[in-house]
Amino acid sequence: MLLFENVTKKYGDTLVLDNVDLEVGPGEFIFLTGPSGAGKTTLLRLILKDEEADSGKILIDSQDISKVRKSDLYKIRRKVGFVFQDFRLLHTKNSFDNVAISFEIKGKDKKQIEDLVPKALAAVGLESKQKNFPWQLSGGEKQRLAIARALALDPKIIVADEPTGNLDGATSWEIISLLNDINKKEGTTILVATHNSDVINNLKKRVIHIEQGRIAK
Amino acid sequence: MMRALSVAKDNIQLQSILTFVSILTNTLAFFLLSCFLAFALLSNFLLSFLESRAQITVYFQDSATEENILEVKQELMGLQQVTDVRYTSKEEALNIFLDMFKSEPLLTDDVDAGVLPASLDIWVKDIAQLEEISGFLKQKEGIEEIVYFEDALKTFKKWSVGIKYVGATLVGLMLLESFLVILIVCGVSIRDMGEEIRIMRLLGATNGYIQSPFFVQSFIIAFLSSLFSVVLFMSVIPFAEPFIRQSFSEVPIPTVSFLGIGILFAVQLGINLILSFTGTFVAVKKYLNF
Repeated sequence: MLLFENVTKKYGDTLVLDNVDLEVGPGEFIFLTGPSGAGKTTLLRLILKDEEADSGKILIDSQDISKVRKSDLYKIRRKVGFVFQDFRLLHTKNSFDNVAISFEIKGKDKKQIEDLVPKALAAVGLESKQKNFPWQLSGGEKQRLAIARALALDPKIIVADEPTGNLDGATSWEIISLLNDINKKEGTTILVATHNSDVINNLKKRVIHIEQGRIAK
Repeated sequence: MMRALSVAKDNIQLQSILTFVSILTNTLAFFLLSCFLAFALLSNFLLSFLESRAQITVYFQDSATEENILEVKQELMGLQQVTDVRYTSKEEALNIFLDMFKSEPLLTDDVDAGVLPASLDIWVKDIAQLEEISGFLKQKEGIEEIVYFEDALKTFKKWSVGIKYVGATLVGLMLLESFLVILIVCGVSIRDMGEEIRIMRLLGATNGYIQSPFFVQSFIIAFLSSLFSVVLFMSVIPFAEPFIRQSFSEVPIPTVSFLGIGILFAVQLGINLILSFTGTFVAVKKYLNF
């Protein structure tokens, strides 16, 4: 599903990822751990092609994403859903519209969107918050909304960068459980970068530890 | 398309003052363009009208016989520079005079053919040759007066060309300003939507999906400003037309038709859409890094 081959990334003179090799199979749930600045976020951004690797190959679904032209980038992005610590929601749009945008991007028409959005919101327990704006939602709800938006793309992979970073313990567990359910029910491959050792220990999933740009275990 | 229209509407509402300024600037630029086009058409019409009239009129003394006059006419017809010569006898001159002043009997009561001179109206290929023809006529006997309006035509042409150049420069500058305003409006909209655009890109939105609202926004501005400028131009016509007709009372200036206004609107809209498309395209390239 996802393959990193000798991937190196530098920011100026700073080496952020150093010859990283990584293979993730379809339907896997993986935790990426490591200290701040270890390269977790960069690795996830490379998957989204939000950053370009300096060398090496990244394959998603057997497709080398370094060879994808800028104008075809959307094809890769539709395979990869994202969830960030700061939610990245559209603050001027309500929950319905925040999810609707993913369906719109996929080319669904208005009628289909009206049918699909409530279902997507219901899947993350936000059916009653359709008209609420992000600022009217709690941290956990915001993150669930971001997950619903990612799911609307029907992605093969979901990358989550510190999705519980702004949440309390119970809510963090709720979000990780939700991602785990999606992984089990939909078979979506999930990569979660986190510092939260409680959720890592409780879920017993594959853990990849990164230190100084290298995969340590 | 509906989404692009909805986002464009939101952008226009968000930047209402900037949008107003851009519509106003475009309206004024295109109003100026309309005035310039109207002036160009009017001056071309006046020039061709003046050039179509007799360019030299030669009045003969009473002593000159019809035979002498027709002899001069024959000689003139033999010249390469001359395109046409028409003879007006004393009697014909009287008829023209009586017809011209038929509503003023005081002027026509005591007039007879004897007081009006016979004349030749001469047309030449180029007004630059008027002086030459005039020199030729001065050598002939029985000539009372030679009237030609070379200087008036030349001056009119010079002014008309000068005003056209100034007008074209001014219109060019205004259109450049319109282009820059569109670019700024579009740039501000893109900056305002910066985070939203970044999220849409991460969600896999195509370039067309992201940029289409900006093109729609510019096209709305283009359409409205073209419409307003034509409305403004039409509202000026009732005031300007009588003044122009009075100033050129002898010239049968055609009236402004609805078809003409329609063509003007179409031309303006076409230019405005090209400007808007280019401005938006540059803004999208610059600010969206496509």
